[in-house]
Amino acid sequence: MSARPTDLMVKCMAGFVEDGDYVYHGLDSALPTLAMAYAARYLGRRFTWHSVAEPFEPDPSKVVLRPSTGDPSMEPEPVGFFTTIDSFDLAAKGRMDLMYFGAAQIDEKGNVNLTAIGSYERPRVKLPGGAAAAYLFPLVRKIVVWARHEPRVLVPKVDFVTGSGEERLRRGLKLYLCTNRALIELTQQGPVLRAVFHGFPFKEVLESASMRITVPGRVDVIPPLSEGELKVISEADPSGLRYEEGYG
Amino acid sequence: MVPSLPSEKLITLREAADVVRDGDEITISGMTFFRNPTALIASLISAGRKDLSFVDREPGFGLDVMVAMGALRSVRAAMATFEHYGLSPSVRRAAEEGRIRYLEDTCGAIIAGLRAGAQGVPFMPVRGIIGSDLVKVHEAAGTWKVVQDPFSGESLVAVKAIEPDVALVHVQVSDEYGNAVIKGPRFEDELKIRAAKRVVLSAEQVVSSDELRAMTRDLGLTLSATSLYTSAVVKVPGGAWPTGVYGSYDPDYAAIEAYYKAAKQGSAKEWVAQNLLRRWS
Repeated sequence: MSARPTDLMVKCMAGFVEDGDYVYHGLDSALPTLAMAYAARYLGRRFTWHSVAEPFEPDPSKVVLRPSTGDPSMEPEPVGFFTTIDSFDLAAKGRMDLMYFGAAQIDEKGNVNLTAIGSYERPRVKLPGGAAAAYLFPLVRKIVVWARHEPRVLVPKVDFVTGSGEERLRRGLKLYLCTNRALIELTQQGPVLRAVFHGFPFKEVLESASMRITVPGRVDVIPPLSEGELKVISEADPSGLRYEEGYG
Repeated sequence: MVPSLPSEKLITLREAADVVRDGDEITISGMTFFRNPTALIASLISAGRKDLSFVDREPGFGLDVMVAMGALRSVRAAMATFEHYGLSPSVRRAAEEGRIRYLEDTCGAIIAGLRAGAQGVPFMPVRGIIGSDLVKVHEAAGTWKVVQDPFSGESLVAVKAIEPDVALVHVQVSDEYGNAVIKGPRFEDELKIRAAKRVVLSAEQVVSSDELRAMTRDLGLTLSATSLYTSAVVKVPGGAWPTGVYGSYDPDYAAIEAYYKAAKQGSAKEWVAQNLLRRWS
């Protein structure tokens, strides 16, 4: 079995977990869950694992993905249960270090839309809603957004600002975007290409977005996953649920 | 010696529907596929309750069923999702067709509103949120207002207290008086119990007060609800199916997926009638 773009996204998202972080994932968050498992098991990061499912500090070696990432059975052997109320209070106090959000659209200012395509009042597509995005965007130290690398997703301006990247960047907080092609940093000067996945040329990466992306002097290449890396991800998702997310 | 206690509140599932009136604002326990009070929801649907408003943080199965069955006129939630399976099918269709009024919220604000409701204060300030278009939506709806901290001048969102008419809450254990224990994840359920005007508990297990006394003593369990809040208790083992109950049963993902597929194809009503209403009739 060889790694696919989805697996490279997991690796890309895991890279932001640092020792000592308090890391939290929400619902419908298969890739963040796997990124946290990879960070703990392959990269050996020592961080505090918590989630919307509420088990506090489960055993990362026993995490196995389920159709709901709010499933407490997915995160076994916790120290105990700690409510989301408590975790969001910590965020308000500036003590949540890393959170992941999906996005139906993300724009040049780092704003994300999880609310509606079209107008809010009569949406063409009613999206699931931003969950904690609006609340946490101005609060969490590092946010990593994951999204499909497509022109209709990476847009100049979102239809609706669910989470305000503009406010976030104004406060000096870090914002990154892991797509199924590349890693992009959102800055007050606009999106900056930081890395492309092995096998995806710059030109294709830039042309697959309708937002303007700056290319700096140095852009890294995220290399293919080793067998060991893929094994760790696959052990946390033996049935391959991650590939049903539509990222390739 | 047993001290004096409030009256017993054990009622039937059919009687539980009478606690909810047409037009009420309701909230339910749990999250997406976990500890939804589905037996109580089935009871409301069977009784024909309608024009209900719904408020919750991150609902899934229970909300979609109520929308599919036409029980709701409005929904307020931070997210409505079927997670791995996709968008909440009936909620999406009803919102896009304008059949329900949908007010999108955000987790921290829902929690703050319930906190205010639980504490008996008119609003609760909350950090974050500033810059989101949701601020304009909620200021127009009269549910949030941007205010200044009187001490520092920081801009904060004041969330108006959320005080649902009824909270429908599924728990693992209750006594007949409505002293109850939620094991494992508790979400905002304890706030909902305190914020709501009336509380109906469905319980996997109903025990005597002496048994509950022994459980809290021996296992160090904490009460999530007390008789002071609870209006009624219904004994319903399996009363959250197909959603899961920590320590009792996992979500029945096959049934949830079957419902999702049926709802996407426009046959949610048939699925609910055959699988949920019949189960609790």
